[in-house]
Formats: sequence, structure tokens, C-alpha cells
Amino acid sequence: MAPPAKAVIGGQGAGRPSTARGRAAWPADRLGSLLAAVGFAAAVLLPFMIVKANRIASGQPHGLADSLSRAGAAELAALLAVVAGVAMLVRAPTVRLAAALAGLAGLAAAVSHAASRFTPPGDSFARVSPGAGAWLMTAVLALLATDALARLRLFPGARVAALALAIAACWLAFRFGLFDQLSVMREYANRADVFAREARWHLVLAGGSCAVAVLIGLPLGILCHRAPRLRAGTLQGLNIVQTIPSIALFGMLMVPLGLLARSFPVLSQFGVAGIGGAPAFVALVLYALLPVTANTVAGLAQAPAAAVDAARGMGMTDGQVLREVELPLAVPVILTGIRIVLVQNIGLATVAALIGGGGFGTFVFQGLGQTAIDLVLLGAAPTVALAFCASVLLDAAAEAFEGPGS
Amino acid sequence: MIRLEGVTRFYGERAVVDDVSLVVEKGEMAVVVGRSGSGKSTLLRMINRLVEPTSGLISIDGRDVSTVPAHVLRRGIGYVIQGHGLFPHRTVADNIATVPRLLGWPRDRIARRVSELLELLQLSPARFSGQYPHQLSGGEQQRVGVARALAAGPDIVLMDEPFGALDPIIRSKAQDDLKAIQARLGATIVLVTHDMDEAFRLGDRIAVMEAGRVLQYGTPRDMIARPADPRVAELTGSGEGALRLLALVRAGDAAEPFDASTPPPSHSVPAGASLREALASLLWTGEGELAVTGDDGRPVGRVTLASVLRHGRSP
Repeated sequence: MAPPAKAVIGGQGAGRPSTARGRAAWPADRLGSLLAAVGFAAAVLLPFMIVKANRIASGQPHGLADSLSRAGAAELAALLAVVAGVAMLVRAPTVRLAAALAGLAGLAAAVSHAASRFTPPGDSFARVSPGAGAWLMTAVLALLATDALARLRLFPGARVAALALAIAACWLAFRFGLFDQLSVMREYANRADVFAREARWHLVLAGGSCAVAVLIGLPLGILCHRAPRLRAGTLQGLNIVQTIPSIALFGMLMVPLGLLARSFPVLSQFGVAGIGGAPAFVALVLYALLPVTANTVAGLAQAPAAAVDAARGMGMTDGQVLREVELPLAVPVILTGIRIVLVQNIGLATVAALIGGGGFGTFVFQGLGQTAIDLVLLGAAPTVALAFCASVLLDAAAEAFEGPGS
Repeated sequence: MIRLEGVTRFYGERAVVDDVSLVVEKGEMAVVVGRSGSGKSTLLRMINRLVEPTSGLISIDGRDVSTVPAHVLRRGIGYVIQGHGLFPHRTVADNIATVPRLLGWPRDRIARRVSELLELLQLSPARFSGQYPHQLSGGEQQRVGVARALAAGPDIVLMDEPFGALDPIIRSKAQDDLKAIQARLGATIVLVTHDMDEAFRLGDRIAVMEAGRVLQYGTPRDMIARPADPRVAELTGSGEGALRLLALVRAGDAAEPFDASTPPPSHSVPAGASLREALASLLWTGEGELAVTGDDGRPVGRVTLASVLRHGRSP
């Protein structure tokens, strides 16, 4: 297999080699120095933990030194100083990655430790959450890790393996209750069964709508490729759908689906109704159609004209030209379209909760209603994580298919 | 044998190919030469029905091609195009195997055939089978394109500017190789080019096309000796007629026996070289005659300046 043309994870900027070598005045890695500076400012200036008397009370900020025992604070500070040094001075991506991961692990342990310290024994009302400083340091370390991964230029399979390892590490952290004292996990503990249900439904909404869109969009794209007269009209129509705001589209679907359910009561047994899952699913399918169809058309069109001419000239039928030449060459572009759609729909499915569509959005909107920011986080964080995983997986798949011929 | 009778193709109001009739005999190489837009590619593409004629009849070995399903017809005809048209996502071996696979050959027969063709085109099977087209040089890609066209052993091969993307040195080698392969396989070849030198070098017969019509169809010698139209004379280059004639004759064919009374010539040309090359050598060395050497390097005869000049005279 040929080496991959690009090694970008989930669309983050590729690891641009530092230009430090030419600048004697500042011989350090520029991105690493910036991240170290931001991390230092976050550690010193911003609250590390927030403690609230109950879930909607305003919080009491605590700095890093307050939040941990003296020894613990010193250990964390020493660890982060080493990570900052590596980020600024070491160029080897494996070392940078190891440092970033060690920093993340140390930070997670410190947050867990601080949460236990601030939780009075037997008190089930107090809420402890990471402050802006802890979040910002997490973001800085995550950026450092992603940058190191991008510089490693991993093969698609290795990137998927790295993702699996990260998921396993997170699962272990939750499994052993590392964060049980944090407010988000308190919210989770109160809703564990609902969370599982909404998570499943979110996956069905986003993944199912994506699958249906592929089932419709792929043949539609092939049809548009074969009949250029159909192409302009179809793509323009789908483009218009794409510009309708999601809430408006949900609203527009309420009336026809409601009428349909009323005229044919059989349908309502299958969940067809004006509000709830059905309009949300239909709207997500409609949004997904344009990227899938347009990328199918673009992918098929990029097969070299000479190769298609040669295929016909050697006696391939239209179907054989499509199956053996045009589609295989279009797969990476089509997969990119599916990636866009899946990531987009994982995000959009959150809005479905507004019309009773369920999914992680349920927590977001409940939290907004109750001004309980931890509940919002319980809905938002898994959505982001899911979108990130989907993006990495499909990106790797697209690149794997690009492999041999390019 | 390929026979075209009154073949015409309209695109809108314009006749791109206009009432063309010609016959390509079995085992011959016919070269269709003309400027871009003269209709030569369209003419070629009508033989394997990539373009359907508006009117007229095309038959192969007496059978009207329009009676055969297009994809079946094409599997029996080799097809080579400019820029090779190899499938970028398939290896060299898979590319060559395209038509045999379409014909449903058993796997081991396909593998044997692929190695055979790679050797014929001077590509080492061990090195090239598993490579992808983008890993090859332009000349190698072109040879794989030819191997792919010959894969199922077609009686007829259509070639549309097959050497157009090659640089001049590789091109003349590729032309020689094609000539040798045709001599060995005995296939009927129709080749389209805009390059008059290529036409003279390769063609048993040449069709000169302009604005959709064939101005003249005949042997290279006919073209120079009896141009049917001033435009043919212009295209073949009237001033170079003599040199083109010399280029058509091999030194070995023009050689005369040695005269025992005179000393052997001090310079020589191989028997396979043309009289044009012999003339260049005579001019360069200032000699009056050259020895002609066979494949083994031994002299088989001689050519004199006088005999070369005689061959170049207007017939």
C-alpha cells in the first residue's frame, strides 16, 4: 500500500513542522510555547474547581493551590512543568504525545482528588465541577496530543487503534468512578437509565438517518451522473433544503406528517406523527441528502475520462463501467460525504429534542430550562465525543480506500 | 478485413465524417492521418461502435458491425488511446487482464497470458505485475496500454494517437516495437495520428483526412509519387518527398553485390537501416559507397551514392 497522502485526524490542522530552526532568538517549538503559556495562565489565573451548595446555586471558585493538598499541588505543578518543557523543546512526536497523555492523566487524577476533597461526607446537594482553569488545561493538553498524533502521520488503521485506546481509557476512568464526585456525574447518576435510552435513540436518529440518506442519495447521485439534465435540478433542490434552518424544517414537517398519521392511522403505529421522532428523522434524512448525492456525483465525475473511454472501448457494459471503474474511484469522495453527513447529523439530532424527538438534546434543553449547566453538559459532551469518533473512523476509511491507486 | 462504405457521421448540422469508403486488408496496418478536427478519431471510433454512423455501412470480415451487440463487438477488438487510459486503481496485471476477465477466461489462463504479454512488451512480469499505473514511466504505461489491448488476442486493434503522450526518443522506439509486434502477431491495425512522419514510418496504407473526407488512401509510395490532391502534397511535404521515399526503402533491399575488382568500402550501414540513413552516412563520411552488413555484422553487399539517388528520384 502506498503511503497516505495526508495524515490529518478529523480535520484538525496537520502538524506543521516548527520553523524554529531558522530563528536563533527563540529556539523553541512555537505551538508548544503558545500552549505552554496558555496552560500556565490557566493554572495561575483561573479557578481550578467550582463548588456550589446545590445544583442551581452560584458557585464558589477555588484556585489550584486551594483545591489540592500541598503535596498534591506540588506534584501536579511539577508534572505540568515537565510537559510544558517537552512541548517547547522536544521535537520527537512520540515524546510529545507521551507527555501530553501523562499530563492529561495527572490532571484527571487531580480533578478527581479535588472533587473528593470538596464534597462534604454524606452531602448529596453540594455540586463540585471543574473550573475554567481545569477545562482550559485539558483543552491545551488535548491540542498538544492531537498535534503530536498529526505529526506522527499514522496509517488509517493505527489512527482507529489510537481512537480505540482513548475510548478504552475513558471507559476505565468512568468504570472505576474516577469522576463520580463531579457534578456532571451526579446528574448522570440520577438519570443513568434515561441516559442509556437517549444515547441509543441519538445513535438511531443520526446513524439511521445517515443510512437512509445513503440508500437514497447514492442511487440518486448515480442517476444524476448518467443523466446530466437531472443533475442541475436535483442538486439545486437539495441545496434549498440545506439552507432551511433546522427548527423551521422540523416545523414544516409537522403538518404533512401529522396529516399523514391522521389519514392513515396504521402509520401512527410505526411512530409516524407530527411531533416526536418521525419529523426529526425525516428532516435529518433531508439534510443528509445533499452531501451524499453531491459527493457521489463529484466522485463519479472524477474518474479519468481516458480510463472510462478505454473501459467502454474494451467492451465493458454501462453497469460494468460503473461497478469496476467509476464507483471504486469514487469511494473516497463518497465516504468523505458520508463523514460530513454523519458528523452533521450527530450534532443536528440534538435539536430534535425540541420537538420531542429525543436524543442527547433532551438533557441540553432540560438543563437550559432549569439553568442547570451540568445537565446541559451531560447532553453536549457525549454529542461532541460521538461526532469526533465518527469523524476519525470515516476519515480513516476514506483514506484506506484512497490507498493503492493514488 | 475491415470495410467502410459511404460512412457518414453528423454532429448537428456538421458532417464530422463525410462519405468515407475504404478497405483495410487482413494483417495490414492502416494509418489515418490528419489535423485535429479532421474527423479521424470519430472514424476510428465508429469501427468499434463507440460512435454510431449516421449513415453508411461498416463490416468486419463481411459481417455488419451494427448487427453485433456493441460490448460483444468491442471485446473482440483491441483498443489503445492517447494517455493510455489505464485504470488507476488496478495493478498492471489486473489492467491487462481486463478483457480476458470480461470474456470469462479461467484464472490460470489469464495469469499465463498476462506474463506472456508483459514479456512481449519487454516488461519484466516479476517487477511490473503488482505495480500501479502511477508508479510507471510514460513509456511503460504506454506499453501496458498496448499489452491490455492485445490481451485476448484480437484480430483487429484500433489505436488512437497511441504515442501522442511520449517524448520523441521513446516514441520512435515504441513505433519500432509496434511494427515488430504486428509482424509477429499478424493483427490488422488501424492507427490514428496527426504526425505524418509516424504515418510514413508505420503505415502499409495511409488515409489522409481533411474536414471529414478522405483525400487519398494508398501506400506511402503512392502518396509521394501520385498525390491525388494538392492538399495531400502539402501535408506529405512536397519538398521532402525524395527523403520520404528513401526512408521507405531498407538498405538491405537496395544492396548490390560486391564488385571484386574494387576494394571494400570503409564504412557500413546495417541492412535494416533505411536508404535515408544511408544517404546521411554517405554525406557525412564523403564516401561514394557503403557496405551493407547483416544481423551478424558481416557485409552482405553495398549501396552506392548513385543507387541511393536513383531511389530518391520522382517515380
